[in-house]
Amino acid sequence: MAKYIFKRILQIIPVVLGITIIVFFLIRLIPGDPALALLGTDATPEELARTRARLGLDKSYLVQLALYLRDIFTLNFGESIVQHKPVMEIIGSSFPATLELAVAAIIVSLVVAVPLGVLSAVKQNSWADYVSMFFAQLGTSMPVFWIGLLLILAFSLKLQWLPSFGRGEPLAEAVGALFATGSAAPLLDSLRRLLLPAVSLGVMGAALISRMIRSTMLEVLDSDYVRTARAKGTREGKVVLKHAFRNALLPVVTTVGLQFGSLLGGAIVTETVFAWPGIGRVIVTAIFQRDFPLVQGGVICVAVAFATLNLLVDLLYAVINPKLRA
Amino acid sequence: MTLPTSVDNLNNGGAAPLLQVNGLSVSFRSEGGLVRPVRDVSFEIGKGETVGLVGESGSGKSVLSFALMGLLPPHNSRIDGGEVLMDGRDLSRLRRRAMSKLRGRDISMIFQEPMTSLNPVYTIGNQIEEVFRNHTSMGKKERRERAIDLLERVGVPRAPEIMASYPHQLSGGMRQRVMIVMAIALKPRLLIADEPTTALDVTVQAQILRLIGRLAEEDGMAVILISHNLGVIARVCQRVMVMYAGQLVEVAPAAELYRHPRHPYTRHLFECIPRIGMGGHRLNYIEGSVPHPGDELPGCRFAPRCREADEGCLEREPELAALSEGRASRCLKEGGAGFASGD
Repeated sequence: MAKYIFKRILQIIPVVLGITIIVFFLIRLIPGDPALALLGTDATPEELARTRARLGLDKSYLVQLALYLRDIFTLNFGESIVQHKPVMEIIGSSFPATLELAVAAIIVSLVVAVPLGVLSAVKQNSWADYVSMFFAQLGTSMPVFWIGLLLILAFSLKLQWLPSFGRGEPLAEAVGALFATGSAAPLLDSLRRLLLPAVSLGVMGAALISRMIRSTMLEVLDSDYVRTARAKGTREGKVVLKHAFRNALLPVVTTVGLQFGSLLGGAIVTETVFAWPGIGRVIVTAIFQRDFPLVQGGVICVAVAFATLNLLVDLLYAVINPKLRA
Repeated sequence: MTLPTSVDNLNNGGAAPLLQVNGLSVSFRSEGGLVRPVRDVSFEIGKGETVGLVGESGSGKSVLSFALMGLLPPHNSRIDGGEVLMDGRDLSRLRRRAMSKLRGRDISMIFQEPMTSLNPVYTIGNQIEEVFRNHTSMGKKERRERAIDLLERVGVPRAPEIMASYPHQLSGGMRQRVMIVMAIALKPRLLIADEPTTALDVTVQAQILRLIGRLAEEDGMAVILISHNLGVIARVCQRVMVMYAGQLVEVAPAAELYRHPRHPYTRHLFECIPRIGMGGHRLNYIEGSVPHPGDELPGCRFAPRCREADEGCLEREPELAALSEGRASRCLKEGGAGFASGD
């Protein structure tokens, strides 16, 4: 097992390297010039040339790439052209925000999807099944930004229960504050601010995952080993939860992993609607500003996160399914 | 339809039977409409008796056994009529919870497919011990010891090691032994074995059959052995019930059935068994196929395939009529009274 994990970690390296090279060229292939973006259209050609030289953009692409790769091996991702701050620092503050939102959204998805999916499989073709699957259909058809706007309208503007935008203290710090000072206020504020974006992001996942759980549960409930469990006199509740659900989890884990992965890339629309300072917005802004180092650093960060997540999903597979433990 | 009183005493003696099935009918809702895979089936099983249930694929054997176990899929099937009496209780009317208390304790079942009948994500030990967890208050240690004892009793080598393994690590024969252990763990009074050897190698088949026979004898357990293989039935059973298209067509003590089958369908079945030394003779087969459980025929359900049928057979439905002590046949030619449909 340890050997397998080590092998999988090694496999992440070429993936990330490949993505680094692709991003490096892609950002340079799209029209636009960082120097021009920085100085504006009034700049003279001499000023532009000087800025390009300062940024190292006057060298050939291959030399630039070699220098960049040399730097990132020492974990130096350079400095943002626009913000004049180390790229690591910008990512270090925006990626946790995205991670926080993604985790919260997945929790929302699972809390809704697991009971709904199991219930509609167990009560197949009942009104409970039809109602849950109607909402699942609705959830997959509604665009995330629209759900976000509806939630803001209802809970921020009409009911005024929850704030409509911005992030509170990072959750880790808010929890820290709770233990250090005993004050729950920062934590509550953070959670209140997290709730609406997490719900609007979680709806789509909840819909997808509940449909997935329903169909795999239906298949598993019809299997020979579930029949065996019943023949042993196992009570129906335990048959569903112990014998069927664990087997139905395998395909669900894949879906949850993919869903989580796409959230890690930054839910740009949701981050924009709720003014959430996540990495999705950082990368998009950086692309418009032709902030080459920041775009590269941001994408590499997301790639590493995605690859790590895939590794975790595979490990989880082995935990659930003994056949995969070798 | 009234039950033919003549078959009331088809068990092996006059003693109170362990299980009494009266006029049991099962229907399934399917896309093609309502089908009736089990039609008005009545029989008795004596205590400790081993009874074979034979028939082609699609004759309704498995559906009948699931109906006895209360394992019919609830969303598309139901018991239309009849009763399944055990200890004076009608199992077909028990609530789900009460039935699950009986299953695994008083009635157990072994299935056809050992490869898929064990849960792939739990250890063998966990799955065997579940029977004890379901029905007894045994402690952890006792459950484990009992499970190991049982594995050794059915001839599983290195039992403690097997307890910790997962189903995919075992062969088909081993898995079927594990299934048997789960079924007999609490010494049930009735074991239903649904084609327990069909999926196994020939050499393993004989071992498993001998094992079931030995366990039944040691524990005084009654067995319903379901098979499409008359050879298998002959080796183990005292009495045989032949099923065709949802109905019992012949019931007889095993030895008599083999010596002198009374229903044409049974005779056809015997002719279909290949024998060593048949030389260049072609193996017989029954022309046509089992009628679909949704098909309603006015007369005998076997008549369309029967060599001996005449016009009367196509019009009048025979009853399962007693021929002599412990024997019955559903054939107009064998003295089955019969009645025109619609009577």
